[in-house]
Amino acid sequence: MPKEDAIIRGAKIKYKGTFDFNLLYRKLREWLIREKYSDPCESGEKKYSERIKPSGKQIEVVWSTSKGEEGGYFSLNIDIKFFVIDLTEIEVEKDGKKIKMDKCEVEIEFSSKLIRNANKAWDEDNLMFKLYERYIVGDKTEQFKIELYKDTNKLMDEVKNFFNLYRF
Amino acid sequence: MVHTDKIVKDVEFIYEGVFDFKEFLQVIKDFFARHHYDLDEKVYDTKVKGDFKNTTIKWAADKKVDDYNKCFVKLKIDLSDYKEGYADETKVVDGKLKVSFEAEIERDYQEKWKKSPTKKFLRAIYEKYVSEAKQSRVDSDLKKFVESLKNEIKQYLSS
Repeated sequence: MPKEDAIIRGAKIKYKGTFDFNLLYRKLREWLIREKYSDPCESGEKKYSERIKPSGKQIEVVWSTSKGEEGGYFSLNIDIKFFVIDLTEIEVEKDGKKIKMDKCEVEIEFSSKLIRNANKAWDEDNLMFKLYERYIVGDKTEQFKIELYKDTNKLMDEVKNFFNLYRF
Repeated sequence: MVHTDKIVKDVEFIYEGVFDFKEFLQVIKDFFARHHYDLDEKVYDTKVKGDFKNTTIKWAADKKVDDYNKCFVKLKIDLSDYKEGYADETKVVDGKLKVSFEAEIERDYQEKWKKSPTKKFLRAIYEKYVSEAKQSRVDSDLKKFVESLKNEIKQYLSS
């Protein structure tokens, strides 16, 4: 059974205002692909639901993305949940042009974890596995934990940049 | 179940005026880094209401003091009814700031002394009769840390 180390648990960014939700969606997807993570939409999102309510649309999306390291032994996983409520389309004027924007409240939750023996190449009860973990990849485990922590924070910074918020 | 003692609660700092919010957050981050705390952002919540904004940020920091005590500090930063502008080419905010502080200590965070009733009993004896002075010192250090952080913030906003 692969071992998991939680790196970031349920960090949230919430924003209520007017913005282009599709643009945000696209930017985050492009960022993940650029950073060599799997395309969260390639085989369809993990979850996508859209409901029409009297106050506006309610959208729930779950992304699960990952990248493998050390021949697939490590898997850096990031889960992103979007929860949008009261979404209504409005027209705003920008630089003399009328453009369509979304007025809504969005909550984006980030969780990341490092999975060891992700490719299940090792029998974890085996002494060789314990020696491998401790003496061969021990330093790399810490290295990838830090990398995943930084990646998740950079992804969150992308969202804050989009909303013009103050970065952590 | 981890044994946790609340050391600091209901401590607040309020400020109203114009300041550099980005620099303010950096001052707090640097303070935690100087004292070897690991700091995580838990929530960043912004609402736009007309010309004004409201932002709530929740940060949680932790530090292992020794192999028995782990300190946790939680900050809630509320910036309400604020507007953004520029002063000397620097982005500033004009609004009401409230910083709330909470701190607690997790005892036996590695759960070495929880594995059996005998060990739990021995731990209770240890805490009460052997290490009481040491635990008091850890508690007092945490209180002083929160007070120093509050003073650092006060100093920054007064300068």
